[in-house]
Amino acid sequence: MILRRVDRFFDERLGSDAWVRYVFAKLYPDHWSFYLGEFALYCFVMLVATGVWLTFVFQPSHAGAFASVIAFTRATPVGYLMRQVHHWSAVAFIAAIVVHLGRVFFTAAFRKPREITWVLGVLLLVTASVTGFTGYSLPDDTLSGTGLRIADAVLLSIPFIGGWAADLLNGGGYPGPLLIPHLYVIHVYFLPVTIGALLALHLGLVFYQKHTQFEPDPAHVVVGRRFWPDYTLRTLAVFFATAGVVTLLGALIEINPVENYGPYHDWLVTNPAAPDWYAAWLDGALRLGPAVEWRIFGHPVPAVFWPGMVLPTLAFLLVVAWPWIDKTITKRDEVGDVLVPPTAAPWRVGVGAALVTAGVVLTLAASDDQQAVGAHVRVTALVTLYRILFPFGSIAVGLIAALLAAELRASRAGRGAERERVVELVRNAEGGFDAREPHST
Amino acid sequence: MTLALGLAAVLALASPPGQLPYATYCASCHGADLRGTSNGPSLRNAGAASVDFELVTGRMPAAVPWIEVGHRGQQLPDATIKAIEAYIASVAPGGTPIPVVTAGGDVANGREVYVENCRHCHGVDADGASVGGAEWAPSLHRTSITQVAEAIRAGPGQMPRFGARQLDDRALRDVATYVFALDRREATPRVPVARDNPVPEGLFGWLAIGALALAAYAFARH
Repeated sequence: MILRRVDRFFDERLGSDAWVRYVFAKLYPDHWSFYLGEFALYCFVMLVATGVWLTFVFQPSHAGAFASVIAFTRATPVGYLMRQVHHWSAVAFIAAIVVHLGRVFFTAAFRKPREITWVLGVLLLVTASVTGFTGYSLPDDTLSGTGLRIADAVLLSIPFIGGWAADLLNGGGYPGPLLIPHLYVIHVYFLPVTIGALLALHLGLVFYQKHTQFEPDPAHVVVGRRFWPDYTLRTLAVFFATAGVVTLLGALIEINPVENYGPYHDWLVTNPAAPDWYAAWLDGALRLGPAVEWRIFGHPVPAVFWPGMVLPTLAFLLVVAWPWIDKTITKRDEVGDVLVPPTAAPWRVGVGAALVTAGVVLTLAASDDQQAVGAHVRVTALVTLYRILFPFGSIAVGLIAALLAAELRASRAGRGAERERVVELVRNAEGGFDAREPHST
Repeated sequence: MTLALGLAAVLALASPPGQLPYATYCASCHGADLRGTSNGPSLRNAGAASVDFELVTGRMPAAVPWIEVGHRGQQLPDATIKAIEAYIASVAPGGTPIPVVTAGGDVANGREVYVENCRHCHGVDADGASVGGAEWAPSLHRTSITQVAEAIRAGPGQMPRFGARQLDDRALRDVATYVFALDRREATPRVPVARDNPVPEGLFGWLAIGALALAAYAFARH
């Protein structure tokens, strides 16, 4: 009754009924893999919810940051839970984005007209990772301080502008008095607002251009579930599942025990040190990078510039430009509303598998010191191994994956042909039916 | 035969106590005269702290020369170790003595000392960590308070030695107390997956997303 009156209130003033009816009746294609992006979305919701709470109790200064984290963590169980759920949500957020990106890649959902959605998604991954890193650095503990020191060195390595960029971030030499306040503003204001804007555009495009589907649609028909009530209930279930999982993780499993690391001072480091998983590939690249220090126009370029700056930039460009690279390879640019099964394009499976392998190798390299102790081998031996695996292991895995996909496609095509053989039924002289090939008279 | 046995008995009686176990367990690498051989270093300047540390933690006697075995528990009986130590001290006196420490130090100050001097090799939780190459700083969890103090003063293996000018006796007692207290700290109610670094946390995050994806796969068709 009240709902009806509210509805009438807005409709009489805004004419909203037609719009509401359109939104409620809108069809959303349904497949389990379409929920992967929603996991990321709801992790972000959890991040904002817990993050707002944390801003009330956190002191963004080098003098107060660590002490305030310990204080609110110890003062109330809620403080501990909020911090834990916030960090677990961040870890799961970026994992969900990567899995979602993989789904979009392997089913070729990025094809025309959805290239913009793809680019926005890649920007979201980058923004989320940077947000994660700045948040991980805020407690000003020794582990994250070790990471900030590395980030500072990478920033400094940029030719010509590196010094200025680092000064700007630090507010002076490392670790400047403004470093934590700067990171704070970047983490709680600038980047989340950016994520919110990118997310709105990303989802707006999904809404406007309609979601892709697996069902072929010769008549351009969307096959899916209505927004209300089917899809609403489903997405609510996804929200509660995601919120439940990150809350359980936060309540049961310890994450980032900064009280164990202690406060950061620039003469301290921790050992073993590793970043959160989504930044580990960059750490791994730094560990594998060649020890070369070239001079470019008389300007020294430190060794960390190549793995720390050039490699991630190239990786970003490759991923962001993928829809156009794909077009160039397939030489096809028609509208791709219907998803293709991954095996339909074995070469794409190969490229994807090679990229994933390269990322995994770099990520593994970021904990080579711990593996060396565990396996009683030299760290340098592992570095050599990962240097070989990074190019050659990736290529090998890519080739194997492409061959397997081709094999799968062939066997599926064989079965499909059997199942879908079209025959013509012809009446015979005895009054029964004979099957014969169509149009063969 | 009788003559040979008699000779051995006379030699054993005539030799100072500890020479026989030294000859049995140490001399083949460190030399009968303690000056070392191609298989092992000289013990002339080793000092009691170093000798005791190596023997009590079972690093010595080594099965194979030059292979670092790490802490494997005491290999010889107490009496034999005492005899070997006495013999080495009688032939080569001097060096760092075994420090006398008790567990009554200040744990908070001990943590400060640990963080500034020990953590970058032995790790956040003293679980041990890589120090580059094939070397690693061992875990400090199964050690006694005296062994910790001996290692600090003697500097075994790759470890630098910390003399009284770097760490005074109070700091020594505090840090040894802290390390000893690590094993007895109160249990946290959370499941500690990563006491010293975030690598396992990433695995759990991926497991969570994997579980959610599996659930979606299982339920989406209904």
